[in-house]
Amino acid sequence: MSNSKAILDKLEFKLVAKEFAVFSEKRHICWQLVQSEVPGLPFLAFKQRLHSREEKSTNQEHSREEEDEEDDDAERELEDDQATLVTERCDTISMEYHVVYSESYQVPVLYFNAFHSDGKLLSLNEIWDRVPSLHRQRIEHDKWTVITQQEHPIFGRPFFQLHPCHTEDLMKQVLPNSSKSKSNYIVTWLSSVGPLVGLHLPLVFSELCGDG
Amino acid sequence: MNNTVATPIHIIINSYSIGDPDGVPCRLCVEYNAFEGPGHISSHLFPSPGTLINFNTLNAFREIDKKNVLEQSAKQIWDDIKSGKAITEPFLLSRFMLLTFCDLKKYHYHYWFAFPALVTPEPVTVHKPAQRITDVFTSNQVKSLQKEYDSLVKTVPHLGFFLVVQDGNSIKLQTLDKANKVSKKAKVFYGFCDPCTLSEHPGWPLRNYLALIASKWPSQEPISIICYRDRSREGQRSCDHSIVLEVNLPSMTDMKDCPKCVGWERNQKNKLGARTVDLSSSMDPNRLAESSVDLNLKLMRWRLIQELDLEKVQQTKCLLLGAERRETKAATAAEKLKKIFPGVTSSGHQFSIPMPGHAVGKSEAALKQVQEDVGKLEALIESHDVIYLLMDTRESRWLPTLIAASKRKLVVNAALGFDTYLVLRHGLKTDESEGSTASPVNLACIPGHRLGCYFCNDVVAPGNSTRDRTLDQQCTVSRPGLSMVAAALAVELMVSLLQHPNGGHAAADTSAKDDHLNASLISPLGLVPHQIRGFLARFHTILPASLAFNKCTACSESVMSGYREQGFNFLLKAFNQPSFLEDHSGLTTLHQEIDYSEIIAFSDDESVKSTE
Repeated sequence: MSNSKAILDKLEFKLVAKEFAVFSEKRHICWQLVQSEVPGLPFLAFKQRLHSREEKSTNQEHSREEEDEEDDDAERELEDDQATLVTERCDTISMEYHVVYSESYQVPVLYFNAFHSDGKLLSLNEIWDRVPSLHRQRIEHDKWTVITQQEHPIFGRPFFQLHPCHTEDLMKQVLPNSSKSKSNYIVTWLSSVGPLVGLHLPLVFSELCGDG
Repeated sequence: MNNTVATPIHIIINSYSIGDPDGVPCRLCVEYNAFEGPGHISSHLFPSPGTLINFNTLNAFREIDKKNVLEQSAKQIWDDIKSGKAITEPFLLSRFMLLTFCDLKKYHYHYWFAFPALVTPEPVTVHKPAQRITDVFTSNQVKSLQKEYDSLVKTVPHLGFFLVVQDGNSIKLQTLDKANKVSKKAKVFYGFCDPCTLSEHPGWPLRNYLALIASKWPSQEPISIICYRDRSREGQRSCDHSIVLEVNLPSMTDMKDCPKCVGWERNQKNKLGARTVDLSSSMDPNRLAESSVDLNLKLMRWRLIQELDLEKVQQTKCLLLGAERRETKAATAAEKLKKIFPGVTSSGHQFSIPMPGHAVGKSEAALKQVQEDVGKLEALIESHDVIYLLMDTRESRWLPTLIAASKRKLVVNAALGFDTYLVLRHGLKTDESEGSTASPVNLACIPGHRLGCYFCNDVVAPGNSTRDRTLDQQCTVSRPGLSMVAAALAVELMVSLLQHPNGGHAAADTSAKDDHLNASLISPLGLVPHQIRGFLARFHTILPASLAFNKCTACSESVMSGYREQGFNFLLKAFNQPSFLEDHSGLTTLHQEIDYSEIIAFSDDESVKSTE
């Protein structure tokens, strides 16, 4: 699809999202196009798990009564079970990404959430700690405006968001000028902003872009 | 067992994946749609049916017989194996148990998973350790296996356990029910979809699978197992990291009783105990409101004003005085504040503010009541940082003004006319300044301690203004939007003032000669005027400033020292004797000094009343 506009209208979004999802499926990459009744627009969803650098439990504050007791009976049962391999406890972070169209900004917006393995949401500070340092310096002064926490427009739950106010400017610089070259807005956009929040589009997506 | 145990028992479906990158520990995913049955699971995930037991008390959660719970689940698996159900529906081998207790006040969730695994009567021994599948099969065979799996899964979705039949060079996949139909000369591998990513070890689903094999297809020979792992990276799909092992499996065909079972999950400390998670930060509406306000303030600071002292804004204690006539208004107001921001500490107090010129009753009870009310007001003013005066009448502002001035508290006054409003911050005295109203001062920039209060511009004392008033005069009627504009400005003025390095002592910015457009801003939020006077008819605002008056009935040296030295008795005289304040402050003398013969004429439509 030849599109060198820095913004998208609803229909254009639907088309690029569909193209993105179909391509994903073919390549066994798990982006899904989800229909949603609320805004009448589909959104793209993706999940992945990342290692956490923290190996500690997320729950540091426990009152005395709540301290979890060890179950001695269970411990005894398992004592002579040689078939269980006990490994190091380490936490992984589950990330969930949604690409949702914003009518007011006329661009796609990246919403995401990150959970510890016990289901607890990461805090905004923890999210910031995970932004790669090379990106951090660039946006340090704008910190809270770039990644912020909002109500998800469809689910109403708290979700982190990459604020869309800079998207149009970014895309003006990054989209190809020539209308002859093929591009997929979402691929171009997501490959630029995704790495801030741990989302790396596999290189194979470049097949959707390039000189036609 | 007491009857608070629990209930109800739910059947839920979870899922696991075999596509994780190396090093990621296997996990079973329990999602919000787990109650909806197996239909919702994505095609590349595998179902695991389970039972959730929710307890009503923490004790019940802790005291449930864990051994019993596990045994019940084991029995289900064993029955499915014995009856052959596990052959046609092998996902039943991957059962789990989940015990939960939810403290819904604190949003603390206690939970414990068990993944029951039947233990073979004698240990299973390794005949040949794990090898990569590419070391056992040719790459064509591996590709073929993958293709076979994909096509089998089209007819049997989410198939987690299958037979890999190697006949010569060909590789074919079969469902478990075909086990007895396999050709004798073919080699059978027992395959299963393995969530584990370790190169030397198989995943947990293998344990019950082995129990099934040992019961239905025992063998003296070692059996071969394929731990099938399938992942995509960079758009490339591969199952090359799957592993093959050979084990010696003791027979279980003659076992009647359910075998022993293990499977309680270890917690974060690697001990056998439950886990707890505190989800209040994302579920408790109070916490959510707090963090959203906090984020808003942070945004203001980062984006706009780096120097904003957020703590100061959050920690300032405000006292709002007003709402005289209606009984429950104070308590209602406090409640409403909590609705807007649950994290606010707010309380309503109901009492009367005594006023000068409004005589206190003669009875002891009346006197006692007034004394109590004064005491209450003094205590409230003492314990707050900022006092907002929002009353209907002029004289009711007198007492709080005097008390706040002597306690050196910040005061913001808001007063409404029909279409005009006044927002005024009282000057903040210093200990040295009480007597210094004589020294010269730059009127263009009056310092904070020389600024006037609400009464400084008056030449008559506040008296009983409600007497001799007609009904429409008794109740101030204002244009509807006025109160909101004045209230908002009162708050913003206060916040700007607090952000100024000199606080209440900040000099007043004025709009005289358009100074307000050119003055350099010292407070990060901008100007700190003394007064904001608005005229709604013209949508016009001016910022005047006025000096403290040395004969002010509320904040002059003589009045303040009278209060300081005589306390309640001084106040009582002011309440009871209409002329007391004028006499004491020196206003009476001032009036007497005026030579009326020097005045040429009074204009007809002027009055001596001050604004309210």
